[in-house]
Amino acid sequence: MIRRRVVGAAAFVVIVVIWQVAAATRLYNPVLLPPPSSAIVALERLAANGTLANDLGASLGRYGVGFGIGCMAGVLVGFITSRVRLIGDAVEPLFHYLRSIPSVALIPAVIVLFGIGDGGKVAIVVWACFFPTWLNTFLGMREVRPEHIRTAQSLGASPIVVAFHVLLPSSLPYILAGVRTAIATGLFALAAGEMIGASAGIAFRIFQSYELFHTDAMIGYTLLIGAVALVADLIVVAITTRLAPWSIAAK
Amino acid sequence: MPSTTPRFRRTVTLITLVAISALCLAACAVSSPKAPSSSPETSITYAVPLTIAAAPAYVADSQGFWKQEGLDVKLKLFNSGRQALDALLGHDAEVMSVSETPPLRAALQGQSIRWIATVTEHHEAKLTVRTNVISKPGDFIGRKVGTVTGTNSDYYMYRWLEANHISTDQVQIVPFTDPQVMVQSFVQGDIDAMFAWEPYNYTATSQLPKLSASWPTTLYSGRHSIIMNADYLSTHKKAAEQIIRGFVKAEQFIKDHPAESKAIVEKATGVDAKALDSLWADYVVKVELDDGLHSILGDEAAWITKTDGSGTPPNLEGFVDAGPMEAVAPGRVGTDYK
Repeated sequence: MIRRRVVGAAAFVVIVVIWQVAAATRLYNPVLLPPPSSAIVALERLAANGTLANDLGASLGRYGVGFGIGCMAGVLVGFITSRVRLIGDAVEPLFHYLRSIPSVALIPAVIVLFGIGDGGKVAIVVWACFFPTWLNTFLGMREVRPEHIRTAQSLGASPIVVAFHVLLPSSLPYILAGVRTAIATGLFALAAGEMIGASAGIAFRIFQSYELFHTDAMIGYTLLIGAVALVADLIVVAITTRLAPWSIAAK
Repeated sequence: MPSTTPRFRRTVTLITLVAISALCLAACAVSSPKAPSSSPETSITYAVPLTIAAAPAYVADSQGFWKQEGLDVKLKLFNSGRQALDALLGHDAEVMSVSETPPLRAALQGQSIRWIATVTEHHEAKLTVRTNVISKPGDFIGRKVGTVTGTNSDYYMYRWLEANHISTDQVQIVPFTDPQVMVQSFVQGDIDAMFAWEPYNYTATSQLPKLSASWPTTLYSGRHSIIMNADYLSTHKKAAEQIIRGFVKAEQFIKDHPAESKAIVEKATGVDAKALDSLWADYVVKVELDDGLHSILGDEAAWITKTDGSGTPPNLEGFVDAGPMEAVAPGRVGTDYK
């Protein structure tokens, strides 16, 4: 485990060093893609004047609410569609169709339905987090072996007990894998959502910095999105390790 | 014959991979920047955004005016001027054109680029309002106003507010990153006014013909600017002159054949004929380096440094290279650039 972490950290360091050297030797135009050192200086500057905290707060708020609602809805709907065959058969093709629509393509519809406030941005994140969680829950629940369910029922377990003590634990590795996928898809969606009139937010600031030629801030915020995703992923892996230590994600 | 161990083979493979990577990096370093061409017909890539203001570029290309000058120009079209500018700064293009604001920002960030001409003076940056809530400047107080940050219409917004004695705190400025999204928000009524360029103002007012209007622009006119990298320009003065000659021919063609020119622009940009007929007068095609450009660059640079908070007085010395224009048509160079 320690060796894996050292190798993983070394890969990061190597990429950062190559990037820094390539920019310093002007292998490409460093104003278009500033090196990590410039990005860090820009983030320090934005942290000092309060912009960073404001953007981070705005984005994490939208992302947190959207991610939470999307994942919870995904698990709930995944449970229903996997157990009630008629509903499952009815919505499965529709959901497979809908889940392939890119978040950015939803912007016109979201503006019509939710306007340019935070509601629309959250709605796009909900959309993006719902489908991976739904699909994995749906597949996980369908993979539960019928003899486990029958055994519990023969011992007098109620449907609620079967749901919480057989179906949920058995499909947990799938659900958590879906949640893990939703971390990334939710962030893609957040970037699309913050294209809709915003005055703060990580993705908004990336687009704005690009237009204003503040490319050091643009790269800083891009790296920050990666860091947010990494932290969120580590949290989900930690939860997975605790709740489902037998799953692949935990290993 | 001694047999090689797996470890030895791995080491050799690793060394080979590292050597190949080093060679690739060295090749990249050698090939950038590109070496000057010595062939009689210079071949260049021109990065151009999809805008009516770039009409002279589409016309010069379609009518073969640059070919006549011995220049092989490959037009590369971009959705925005900012992306076209990236192509120039990344040395993927030798020349590009865009309204003055994005390259001015790049130049103020230390990018070594030069204006060699402007080809269109335009009044496309406009204020479009919902007439049911705004009929005079005083109605702006407390209203939501959309803008696309960093563009010349964003600059126009600040000029307009200042001229009408309205501070930015008295209105709710809603920044957008995509003009199309801003138009949709305007049409839906999420914002009460927007500062945009064409054809976005036209699109908005066509969708709300009885509820919206674009107010005429008197405070500001933009310049569609022809930009080159300074290092390329220093070794390719002749190519710059050939580009300008092609534009001068395009200017004459547009004056003589407006209908045909509109058809060329329609084909290049996708802006429909009805919109072009309505907007054509907003664009005055004139190849020059006039004193108006000098004044616009000075005013915008002052605004950029003020809004960026850098506070440093901009030094615009050397942003414009009038040499090629002087060689082609000295009468088109303003006294500020003599």
